[in-house]
Amino acid sequence: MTSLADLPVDVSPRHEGERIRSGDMYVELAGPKSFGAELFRVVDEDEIEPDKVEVIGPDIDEMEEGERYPFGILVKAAGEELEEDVEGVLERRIHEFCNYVEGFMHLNQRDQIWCRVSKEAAEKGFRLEHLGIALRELFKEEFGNVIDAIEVTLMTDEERVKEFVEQAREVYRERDERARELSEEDVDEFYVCLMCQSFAPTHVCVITPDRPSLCGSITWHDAKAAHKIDPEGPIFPIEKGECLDPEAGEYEGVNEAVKEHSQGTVERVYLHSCLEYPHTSCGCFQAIVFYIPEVDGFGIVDREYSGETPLGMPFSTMAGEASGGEQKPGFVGISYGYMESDKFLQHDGGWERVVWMPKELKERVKHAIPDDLYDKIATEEDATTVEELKEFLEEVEHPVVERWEEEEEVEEEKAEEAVAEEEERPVVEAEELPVAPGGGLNVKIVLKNAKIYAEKVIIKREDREGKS
Amino acid sequence: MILAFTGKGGTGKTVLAALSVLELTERGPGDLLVIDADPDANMPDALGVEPETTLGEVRERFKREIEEEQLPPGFDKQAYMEYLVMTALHETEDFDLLVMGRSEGRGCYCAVNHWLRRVMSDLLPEYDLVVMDCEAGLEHVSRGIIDGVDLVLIVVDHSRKALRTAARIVELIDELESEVGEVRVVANRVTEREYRVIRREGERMGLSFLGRVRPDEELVELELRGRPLTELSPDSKARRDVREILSRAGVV
Repeated sequence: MTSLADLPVDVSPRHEGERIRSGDMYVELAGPKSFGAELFRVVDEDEIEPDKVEVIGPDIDEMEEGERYPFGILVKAAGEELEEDVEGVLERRIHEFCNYVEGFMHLNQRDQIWCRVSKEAAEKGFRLEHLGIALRELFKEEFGNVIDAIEVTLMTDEERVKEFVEQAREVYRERDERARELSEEDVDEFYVCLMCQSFAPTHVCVITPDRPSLCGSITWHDAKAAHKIDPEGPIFPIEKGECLDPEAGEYEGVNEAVKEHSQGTVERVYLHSCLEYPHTSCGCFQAIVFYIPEVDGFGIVDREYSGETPLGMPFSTMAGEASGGEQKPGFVGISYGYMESDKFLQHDGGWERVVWMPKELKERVKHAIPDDLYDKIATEEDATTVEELKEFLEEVEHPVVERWEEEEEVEEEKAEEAVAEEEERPVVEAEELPVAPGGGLNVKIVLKNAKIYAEKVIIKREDREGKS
Repeated sequence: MILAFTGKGGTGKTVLAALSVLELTERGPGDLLVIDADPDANMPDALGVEPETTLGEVRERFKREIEEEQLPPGFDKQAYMEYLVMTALHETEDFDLLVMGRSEGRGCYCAVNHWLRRVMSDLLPEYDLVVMDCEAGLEHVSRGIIDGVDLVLIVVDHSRKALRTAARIVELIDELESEVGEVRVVANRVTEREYRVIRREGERMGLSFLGRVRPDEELVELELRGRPLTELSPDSKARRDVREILSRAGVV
């Protein structure tokens, strides 16, 4: 059987990134002016002819120089341990492996691939069959532990490619649906992105399947791909660690990572809260959730909306308040994608506490808002001041209204507590207070800006007791 | 090597950049990339080509697709950006042309530009020579989209305003985080006497001159008739002077 060494062109990672310019190109395959696709399928062993490489349609020597042809790449593989959910990851390697082939350029992915064959390779006798052999051998070399059998089909016949593109799109669609269903429980690793630290030095963007980066540009899947391509880059994985509070979205691993990469500034993050230990905000967020104390609910405003909010400030002013990488309870920057998560602000009550959004934003994320709440969320047409908002919410019987009554009672209690608190004075107040832990432990504890309250302070002279 | 033309609007930097391209395709090394980085310039017209799209347009398209969540989960955005840049790259037999087009709109470009920077840093070294036409602010260099320039030629005419702009550009270059090699001034459309005056004044401001391009009637005639500069004869005054300047700069 033909091996890599028998091919008329060299196959090696050093050819990656070779761009074939139009002047050096023999033919163009797929691309923006033609069409094509690539697909990796996991199939049963009996659906495969092991090691077969087939070219359907004209091969390079039957093509006209300088012309453009449709192109399809289908890789079918079988293996006992091979599962369907790795299709996407393995399919991504087609790009890489094609580019190992000297004189072959492969850009982009899925049904947007764009390939070129160089004149030099064509002269050396390179044929699509050789590309198929290279793919087969490289996949076997790299994934021989899971791939038991593999078959490669390359298509240039217009009708066949057309059919294939349709088939591929159907597979992509199903695959995407599955990927979108992924949530925090399904993975062991989250990602952090430090891209914005240039202007928000303590901002650590935590990316989970439920929570894309605040700028909306990087989903969990993107982060995973980005890290693979650029392992030294600003996006990298973190261990999720133990889930300390599933409702709040507090994870041991997240706390540790945020602490480390914010230089100790932020120690604790609730991924799904705006009020307690909220995620920090860079300045790039697509929208801000803001707490409106008068109605005990949240407003959401996005960058597209330039008008006033019930807080009396537009997005730009609020963005200034909330950004910079500090934790500001009552404000949290978010992406549109996060609004679609089931976990959206779940610690604070989720959509049930959202009371105000610009009309356009509300329309945009309509599918994510529970049906029974949609009409109860005010827009700029219903209210731009707190008074108007209160009136509106009462009128539509928004769920937060129930909280108002409960709260009145709680507030009275709180007021009493506050009075009691005021009377209390710390028994110790110190900028730096060393504490001896005792018990023979070899550690030093220093409390900074310490205030110690105690019901009673007992001072004993230990040395005497020791002697007696 | 990356060669950038800049200067106050109206001094003719696009003309000089385009004439340089003509010199380089005729006698220089083959792998040439031309970057039109001035939204107000018209490099494609000067070179007589019509690119289908600009980098600014594809960047907006990418950003819109991200915002509207049109891109599938797990879609490799770095590879997609590479593809988009390639769609904006206009390839001819003599050179490739990339028009940067409109600058950033509203919203966050951190991630998009991050990908773009990576694509550009892979793309530029593939060419022996890159000729850029930049606006005075050098936006793409200051944003690190184009990292590092070997030679900046600041174009001035006979006016003091152009000289002052040149001095400001020199200050700005000093503040850039990108590596910038040499910075020289070229006077365009000036007579011998005008050049002497300009040069004396400019040197007093700390500017270093590389040469001048004489006024050229043939060039004026082409521009009057809206013809591309490719039609300018190789022994016209402007082309000869540009050739002289490029050879003095060590480009050809």
